[in-house]
Amino acid sequence: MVTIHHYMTLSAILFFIGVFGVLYRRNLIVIFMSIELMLNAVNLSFVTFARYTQSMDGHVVAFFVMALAAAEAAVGLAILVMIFRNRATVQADDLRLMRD
Amino acid sequence: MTFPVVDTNVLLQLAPMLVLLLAGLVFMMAGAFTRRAGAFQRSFVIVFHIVVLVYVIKLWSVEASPILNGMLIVDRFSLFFTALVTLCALGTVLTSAHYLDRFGMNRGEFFSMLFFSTMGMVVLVSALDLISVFLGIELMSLAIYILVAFRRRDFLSNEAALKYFLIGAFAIGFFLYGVSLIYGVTGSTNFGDIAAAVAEKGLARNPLFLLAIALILAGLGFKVSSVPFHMWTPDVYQGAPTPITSFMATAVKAASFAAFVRLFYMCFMTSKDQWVAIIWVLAVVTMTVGNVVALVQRNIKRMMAYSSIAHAGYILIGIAALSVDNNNAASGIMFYVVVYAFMTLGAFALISAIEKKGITRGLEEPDYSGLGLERPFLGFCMAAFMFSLAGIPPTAGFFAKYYVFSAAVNEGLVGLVIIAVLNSALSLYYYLRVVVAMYMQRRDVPVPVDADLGIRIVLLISLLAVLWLGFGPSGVVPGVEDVLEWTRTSLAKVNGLGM
Repeated sequence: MVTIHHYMTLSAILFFIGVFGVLYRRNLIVIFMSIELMLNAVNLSFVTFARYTQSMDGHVVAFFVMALAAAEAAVGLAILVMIFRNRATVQADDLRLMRD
Repeated sequence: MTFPVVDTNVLLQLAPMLVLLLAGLVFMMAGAFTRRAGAFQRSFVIVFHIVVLVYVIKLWSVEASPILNGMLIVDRFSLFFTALVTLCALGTVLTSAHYLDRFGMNRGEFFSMLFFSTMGMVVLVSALDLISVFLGIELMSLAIYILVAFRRRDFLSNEAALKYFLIGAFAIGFFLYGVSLIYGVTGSTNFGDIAAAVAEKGLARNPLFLLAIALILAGLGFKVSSVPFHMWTPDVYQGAPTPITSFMATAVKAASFAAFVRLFYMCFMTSKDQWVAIIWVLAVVTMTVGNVVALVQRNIKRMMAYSSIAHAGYILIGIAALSVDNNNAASGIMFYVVVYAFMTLGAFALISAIEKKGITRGLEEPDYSGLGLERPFLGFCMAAFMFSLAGIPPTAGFFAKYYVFSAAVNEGLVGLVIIAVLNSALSLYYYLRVVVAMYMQRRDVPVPVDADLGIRIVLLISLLAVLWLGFGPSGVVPGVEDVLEWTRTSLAKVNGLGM
């Protein structure tokens, strides 16, 4: 039987895949996708808890998170496009003009 | 058929947000139809800010209660911070007039984004629910990502925007995961309900609840740039247009700390013995790293960034000293944030007047040499801000530290305060280096300074605030005692709601 623990474990695994993606991948688009994965793990966790506690709040939050993730994607991709136009790269290692 | 009636009282309480929203939309349209924001448009920007401040004064005496199903509350605490972030935005607008023209980014959208960001901050400081905290942070940050990227052709601006964006989005992921765990454990995202559930079910030591606090702490830590979540700060502060750096250092920090204080005050105080050690370590590491790395900075914007990290460390001492019995620490934090806002706005106003195109961009020490001798007023202002940031007695910076540190001593955090005082002494070195450059070094060509009327106004008001809040008596102009009194009355309600 699939219990709340399975959902929560899946959510935690997805979240940490996202975290490791952000920390270890060097392509900005992949980093960006990893962040989206983190947000989706959060959504799964919210919906699980909403089903578990029989309240609607968690479902609503999931929609808020989706809407905000979309807004963030718009801004983030705009910034990426701007960088690609100026520098013709989307590798994080190439963006090191500022150092101590 | 009946229509849902809109409660005019609720509308009145939302007025500051609605005015900012309207202003944001107006200037978005203005940007679409004009090539350049002239003096006419800019005067309207100022009018909108003043309208918000008028509403804040009007609402100050209104009895506060949660509105919109407990999502927001417009109490004195939130109005205090609403006024502060609006003043910071106004200062940014005044600072930016010539700067925007010089760097070719004088467009209506600039002000539009500034308004949206300020609106996000107002939501954040009025939040009474983790969801409105989330929405406030996002609205504030999304607009600021765009503002940081506003110099589209400038590589540094691009890079800063990207770093801020990626790390901001990463941080919000942690914050949300914490929120979802809190929702799972307590069954609610409302501050009041969380506190009630924690008390009722005895969750103060529940491991999942503590993990949620740690995740939320990480998310907010990114926003207030506390070590180890500070890596973005110097790069973003350096690459962003200087007025926006000033806005980030003052308004974003103030709004984030407001949410920090309210959340920890209302929901997490019963678990304080569990998290106070973490905050203790964060505060020590934050101020030490900030001050030590600032010592070797050549670029003044990077130096101010590390200084801002160090000041976040001092404010975290206030968080560690939060107590349910008295408001000393919380009102100390509020006073500190106000003082920090004034001295930082002032310092950045002068930095943006001196910044220019070129290799060092007018941002390194030689660009300041002889300034104090050639331009006595500007030099004096900068010296006062630097002394205040270092916390030298007759300035406001000293009293800000004094109130936070004394609250911490009362809570028995003596070790933390000793480390903080040593850190303040260390910070003298790099603040004084700027003063030394201004007064004791000479150069052949005078420093070109583009200090227009707006910058002069910001400098004058910040200077007066820094001196007045340092030793000014209460009277016609509010002094230290008045501001502290305001912070105390602002907190009375927060405390009552939470406990």
